[in-house]
Amino acid sequence: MKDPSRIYRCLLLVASLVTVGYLVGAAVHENYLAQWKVVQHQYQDILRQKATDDRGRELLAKFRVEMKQASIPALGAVDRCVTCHNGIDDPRMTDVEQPHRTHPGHILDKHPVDRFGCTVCHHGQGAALTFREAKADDVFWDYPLLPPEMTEATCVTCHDAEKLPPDQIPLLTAGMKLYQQKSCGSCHKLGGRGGALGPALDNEGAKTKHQLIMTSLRPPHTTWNWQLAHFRDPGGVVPDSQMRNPTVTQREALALAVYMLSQWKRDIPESYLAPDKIEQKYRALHPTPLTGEQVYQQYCNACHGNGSYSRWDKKFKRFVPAIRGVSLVSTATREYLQANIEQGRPGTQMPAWGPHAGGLLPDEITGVIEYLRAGAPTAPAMTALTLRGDPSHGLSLFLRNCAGCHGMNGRGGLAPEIGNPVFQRAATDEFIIGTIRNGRVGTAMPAFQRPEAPTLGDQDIADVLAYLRTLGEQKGRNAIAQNVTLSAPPGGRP
Amino acid sequence: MSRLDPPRINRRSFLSLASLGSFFAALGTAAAGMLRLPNPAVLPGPVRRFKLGPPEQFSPGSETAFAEQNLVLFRDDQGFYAISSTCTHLGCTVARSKDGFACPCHGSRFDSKGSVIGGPAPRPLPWLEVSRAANGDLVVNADNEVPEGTRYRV
Repeated sequence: MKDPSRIYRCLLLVASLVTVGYLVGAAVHENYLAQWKVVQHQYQDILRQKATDDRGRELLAKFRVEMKQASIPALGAVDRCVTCHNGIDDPRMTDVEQPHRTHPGHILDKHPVDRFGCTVCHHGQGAALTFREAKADDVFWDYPLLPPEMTEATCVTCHDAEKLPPDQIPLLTAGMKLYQQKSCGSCHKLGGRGGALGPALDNEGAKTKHQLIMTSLRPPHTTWNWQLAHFRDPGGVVPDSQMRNPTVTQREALALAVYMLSQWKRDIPESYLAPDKIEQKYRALHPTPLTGEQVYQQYCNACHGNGSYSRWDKKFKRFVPAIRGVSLVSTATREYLQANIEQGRPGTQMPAWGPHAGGLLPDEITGVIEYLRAGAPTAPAMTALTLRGDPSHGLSLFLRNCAGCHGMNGRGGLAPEIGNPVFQRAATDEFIIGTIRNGRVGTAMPAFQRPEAPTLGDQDIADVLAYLRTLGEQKGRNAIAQNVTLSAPPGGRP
Repeated sequence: MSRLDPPRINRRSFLSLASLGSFFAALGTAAAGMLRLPNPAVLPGPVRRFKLGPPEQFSPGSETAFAEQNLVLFRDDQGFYAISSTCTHLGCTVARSKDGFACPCHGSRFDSKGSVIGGPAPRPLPWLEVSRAANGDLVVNADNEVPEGTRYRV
């Protein structure tokens, strides 16, 4: 103990021994105790227990503890899942624990692992040799392992969902129905058909986790969990989302999430596609027109509701017009409705639905107009005014009676935008006069010429109409504003 | 000095011997590790184990050509055997001829057991290992050759 350096030499010895011990331990762990080797030794024991006949003994004799993989260059898959899941094609392994168990169903009969691999259906990191890395929900991997019940989303990579037995793909079938029932097409395009408010969903399943906002999501931060959480509460997952809460149960959210994950235009060799998938691709080129009611339910319902009443929309902060209300369909001409549907209302949430925009077929637009006008008088009774209007008096009346809802200069506010070019082109004088006189039942638009107490006389209405038509003549808002200042009568503004 | 009384090794030479020994041990281990590298546990090539279906599907005396897998499966009264249909000359796919196989590229001819009877082919067509998967399907492993005449009995 005299030598002061002795303690350092002891420390050096201990540190060296610890390092050497650690390295030896790591070498043993990596070479002899690797997870997959342990699993394969377990499987060998199971094979030994089950080797009661010639076949069993043959399988046992042929079994080697080695890394196994299904490498499918055509699908870009190198799947080592079979290194641990040794018993997936052995029908005797139904009663053993995972990962040794038989693959459920008869799926592997038609989809041998040698030809399809695993990740084309299940996703996940195929080359991984531990379950944590194969699952890949907390590492950087584009498509983490799907939960078993959601795996049916990938069936439609090669199959037409409508031709598969519904009991094989219960969630996907439910998801497709819900997509139509919840009128998702009102805002989202799928296959070129749908509204323009939300993103198109054609390749939703191809999105990786980096394309989705994960900050507000509870782990696991996976694409499937994002879809699931997003259907429960869109605004909670994507801040400022315009999407209304679809009010779905947990199972319905799951079904919709599966349907979204199934939307993936994946590049798969033709030889892998089922014949019905190829037929589906051709059929999509020549769609069968939907009936008017179906079109309304799938593409209008989300915003307009059942269409009898105008709806206050919290997200849009305005009223959505009652397009099936009796006072609209009894005054509006077919051409007016058609123009509004085909061209939409630029500047508002109403998108254009013509064949080159929302993707509705001409027959479908005719059909939906019939549906809107169902029950309306065939020839709307309308009286024309022969009076000449005075736009400057019209302006003062407009400011007093209309601008509160329709906005200054008819720019729109709570109520529709009168200056809208499509409205100005499509609405006839008779239509505007009729609407001002009689109002719109079921909406906030009052009648301005009730027989008992008319607010506006015929001349007033002619003046307002003359003013409204000046809005359509102007190009751009500055011009309208200028015009208003110039033509406003002195002291006209109340 | 007798063998019962070996010379004492002094501390310094023991330490130098030990350090030299551990250096060579480390070098040897590293070299062994490096020599293992060219022989990976798995290769990224495609799977060459083909499941061909249940054995009942093939009647005795039949022969079935699998174009995608490049092999012909035979069943005779002694059992199953599979012969590769990739020519051993330059890898063309051989066609079935009257008395065996014939290669369309350079005219190699083989008899019905795969032995060369003419043309430039250097080796007979290989016989491939036949076995059965756990679910009972016949499996041909195109990576494993077996001696000519080997049959797999079901």
